[in-house]
Amino acid sequence: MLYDLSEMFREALSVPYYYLPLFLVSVGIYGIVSQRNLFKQLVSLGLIDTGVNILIISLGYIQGMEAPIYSAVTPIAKFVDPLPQALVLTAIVIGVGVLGLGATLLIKIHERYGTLELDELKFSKEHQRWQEIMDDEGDVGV
Amino acid sequence: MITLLIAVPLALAFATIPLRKLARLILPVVVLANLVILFALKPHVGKIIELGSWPAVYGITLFFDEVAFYFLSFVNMMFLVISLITRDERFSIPLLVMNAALNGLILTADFFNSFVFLEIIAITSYIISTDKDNALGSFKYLIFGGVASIFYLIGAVFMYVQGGTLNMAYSSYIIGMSNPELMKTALVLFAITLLVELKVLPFGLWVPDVYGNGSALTPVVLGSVVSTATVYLFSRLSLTFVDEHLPPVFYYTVLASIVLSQLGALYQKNLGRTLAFASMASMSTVVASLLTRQESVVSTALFYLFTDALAKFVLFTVYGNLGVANFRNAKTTGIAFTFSSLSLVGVPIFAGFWGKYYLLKALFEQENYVLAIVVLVSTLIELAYVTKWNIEQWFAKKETTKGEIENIDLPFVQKLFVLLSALILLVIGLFPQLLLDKTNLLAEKLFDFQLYRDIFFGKGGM
Repeated sequence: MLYDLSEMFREALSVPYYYLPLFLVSVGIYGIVSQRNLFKQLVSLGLIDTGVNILIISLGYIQGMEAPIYSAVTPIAKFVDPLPQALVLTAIVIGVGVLGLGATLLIKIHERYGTLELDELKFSKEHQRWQEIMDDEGDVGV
Repeated sequence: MITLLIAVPLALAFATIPLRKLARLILPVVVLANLVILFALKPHVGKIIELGSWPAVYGITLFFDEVAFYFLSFVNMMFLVISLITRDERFSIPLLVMNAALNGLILTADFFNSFVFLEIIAITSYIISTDKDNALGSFKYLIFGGVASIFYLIGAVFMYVQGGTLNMAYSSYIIGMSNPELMKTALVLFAITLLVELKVLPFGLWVPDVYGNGSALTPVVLGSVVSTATVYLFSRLSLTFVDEHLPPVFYYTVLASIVLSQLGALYQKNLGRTLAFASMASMSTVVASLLTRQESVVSTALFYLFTDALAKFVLFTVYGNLGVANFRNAKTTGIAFTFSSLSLVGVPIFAGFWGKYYLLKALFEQENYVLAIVVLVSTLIELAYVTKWNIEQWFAKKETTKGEIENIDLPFVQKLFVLLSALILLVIGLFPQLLLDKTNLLAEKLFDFQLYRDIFFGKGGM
């Protein structure tokens, strides 16, 4: 038996600071599924990343506790859990790397096909394939 | 000492950024050094390494046992061959980073650390898959991989929140005792991520565009080494840490993936895409066998995995370098290609035959007839397209503009390694017990969570 997901979802909705991550992840997933422009898909991936990062920080939050900064005025052991924050720092760095690489690939795609629209890309790919076949036949003739 | 397998390739990758030619020369030396270190440490398997001397429950720990040893050996041997036959220096630095991450993925015993290594492997895979100007295929792969990796991250954080630690042994033990349902939910999240790399449909829809673009490097790296390392992690998560099956929907999806991928391979008019679909079918077969959670089936699945990776290495290297070749003028290459493709189908005297024979035998013994029938049907489809492509390459006339038969062949080093790989498939075919003994041992260890835990709980630590 799997952990009851509907119960988990109800629990999530009962905590106000889960609303933002849920909203961001939903918008991101909708964007990836519905958008026909590759750049918008990449932005949607960034939204999902951000939503999940906020969710992880929220999971480590404890009501009424201090920020995890050790100082003379901060009582020890009255902190929120600092580990999710450390994990998110790493996840942000990885996310930036992936988005940066994705943007680089989009520049390459645009340079080659002249568009980032999926419908136009299909047409452009077909056109290039025919062009290559025609070029090959031309070479044989020479 | 075992940490050098991660630290050295990573450090040298960054140190050689201004010197790409040097990176190409260093890559095989580093991988060879990895193998030397591995074999030197073989007598010390069954140890944990606590990084920074932090106790395993708080810090990052590496776990080095016999299963890790054999997977690391296979991955690094394949990597050595790849580094020797790759002449393109553009990919030497990503390959060094990938080598470090693959070793890390197999060695780590920390959920978040494994996420980081998975992401490093994914990023280097995206870079390598742009070979032959294939940015569009690579972007598709990035979107699939990017979305999927988020599930792994959520799974890892769930394990931490419930178990209070990111250590795989402690966290799985605590949650397994207190809340097994949550453990299974986390496994579902992990599985969604790993099935993208394991190329199971619909998660593996990126594969034909990435593998089929004619690059020799991309499918060899992703299909042989990345897939093998991912199978290791998937096996650990689903066999060692969890005592239950994944929901049946996964099993049926994987079964459908085997048949659909084989049909996809049959209907392709391009050899690269045919091999891409064939690769998806093989990995789906391995995953389906792992999902049965039966030790004898898992053992044969590992046998199938290693021999299939070797066969695919030959097929993709030949296709990536020659395209659809004319084997009458490249007989040695042609023989290696035909041997490997026959092994893929499961023709007797080749390793692939024993892979399929042992798998079917184990499935019938376990009365798992559905998977057995699916494997038989997929073999028949495989036979059809393998025959078609062999006839095409041995007997179809491909003439140049001057009316001569095309005379292209692999360079000597590549020809040597594809021939050696094909001969290894033949040797394993003649002496299957050599490999079967090892895979039986691996399957036994994979199911032994007690042993894994004991090493952590103070009986084998160092």
